Amino acid sequence: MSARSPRRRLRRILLAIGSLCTALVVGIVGLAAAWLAGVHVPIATGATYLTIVKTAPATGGSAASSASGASSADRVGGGPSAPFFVLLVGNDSRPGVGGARGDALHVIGVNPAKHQATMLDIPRDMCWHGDKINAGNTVSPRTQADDVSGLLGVPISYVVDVDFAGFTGLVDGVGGVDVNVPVKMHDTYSGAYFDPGLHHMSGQDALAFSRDRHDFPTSDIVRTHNQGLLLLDAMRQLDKQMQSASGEFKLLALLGRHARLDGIGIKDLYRLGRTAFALNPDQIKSITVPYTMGTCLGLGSGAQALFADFRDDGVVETAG
Amino acid sequence: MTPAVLRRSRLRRSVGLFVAPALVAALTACSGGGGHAQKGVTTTTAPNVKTAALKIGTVDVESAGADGSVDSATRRAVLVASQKYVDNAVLSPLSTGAIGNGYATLFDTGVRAAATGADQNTLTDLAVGKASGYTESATPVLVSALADESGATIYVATRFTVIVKATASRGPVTINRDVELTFAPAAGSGWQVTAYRVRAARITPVASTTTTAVAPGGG
Repeated sequence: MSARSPRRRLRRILLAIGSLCTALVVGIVGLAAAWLAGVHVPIATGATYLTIVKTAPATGGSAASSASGASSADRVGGGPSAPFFVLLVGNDSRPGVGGARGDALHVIGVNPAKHQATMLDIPRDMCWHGDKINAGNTVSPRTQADDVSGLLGVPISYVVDVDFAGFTGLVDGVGGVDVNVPVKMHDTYSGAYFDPGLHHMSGQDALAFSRDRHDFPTSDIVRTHNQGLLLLDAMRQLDKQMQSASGEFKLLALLGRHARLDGIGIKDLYRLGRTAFALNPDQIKSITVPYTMGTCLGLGSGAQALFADFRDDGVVETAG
Repeated sequence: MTPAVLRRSRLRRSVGLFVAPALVAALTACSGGGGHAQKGVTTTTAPNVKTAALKIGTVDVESAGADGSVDSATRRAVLVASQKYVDNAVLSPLSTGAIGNGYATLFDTGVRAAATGADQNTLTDLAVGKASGYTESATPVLVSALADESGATIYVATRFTVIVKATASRGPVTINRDVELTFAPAAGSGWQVTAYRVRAARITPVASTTTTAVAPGGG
């Protein structure tokens, strides 16, 4: 008995090892077969499962570098094909200050067929029917759009309107904006303290930059121009984010939370935005509407010709 | 007594020898569809045909208001539709020489004309022609969604890369395809592609063939 027992134990061990090895080999072969077939291979572990999928690089960058080029297609259905005009409003509503006057007024004309756009920057002190044009926004963004539409002679279909909190929320939401400050700013009213050069601005910084008018002899005119610069800088940065649906969705969600929209909802804004961001921001002109000085600014020489150029296809070819 | 015990013991061992591997194999073979076995996936018939099984990677939801989420039915629907795109636009041309029947209906009316016309050469591998064999692989599918002010999902996008190595009539070719499909609710039910960004690079040992099809929105 004592001599046979170790042999039996050894045989049992060998059989167990053989069984285990066979199971492993068959299992691995099964897994490999599944992997080669490209199917998922769950291992029953409750709600989670192991998936074996042949993986590839996340992007096709290597392919692009080794190829002489690449074929690409970028398209959205339901976007506008005719020129359209969007009014961007920055209103001055904030705690303690009501009314929501349109202190920043910018109209972007987009020509989808030409892949071009122009932005007209309208000083808030521009006269319109005996009042400053920014008063319309105290009624509603649509009234503001109607007034600006009357001034320029273009149909404004869509309005995006933000107050102070909305503006800072938007800028902070996209991680801030890089703005090239043209001249030194030192303004206690707006809180703008910037040296010339490139600055990465938070929402509050960008708001201060956009509001500063006391540093400049022409006050609101330079401020309006600076607002245009900031918008174009922001568009250049957003252009990178807008190259993927996830970036687009993030920006649209931010707009939904921080802006008042008129004439368009989030759903259609996706199609509109995708059309607009097919443009090269570096080719978008920013032009301040010609003016004559006064308490209430009048239209300067060349304004009507500029508007006519803008009106015909959303793009100004003759100026800027 | 002893022989009977030994017989039972041998029997158990024999059963153990076959049952354990069989269980593993059965587990492997039978449970493969748990995460993926969608209805409607085209089965290709060319030699060496393998279907890249797309699987969900990360899911990101952006909301314009109330918190949004992508329910499992929607995730599955867009994953199935993305798989159909791969099967009909990429694998079917390589295995049969023709685009799969379900290709056009993946797209809504806003982009269907372009997807079957101007952009077809980029969106599909019809130009490569029937291949004598191929292998393909795919990254996990990144899912992004946009919810409106009420939290309802209005768009869902899938983004993934498919790499195919094929032996075409003109020789070997590697196709790197970056795909982003944006889905919107279809008129009746389900989801259809309403926008896309697709980049395809077809690389051969001697040269790379490239085409460009970029067009403004508006379908």
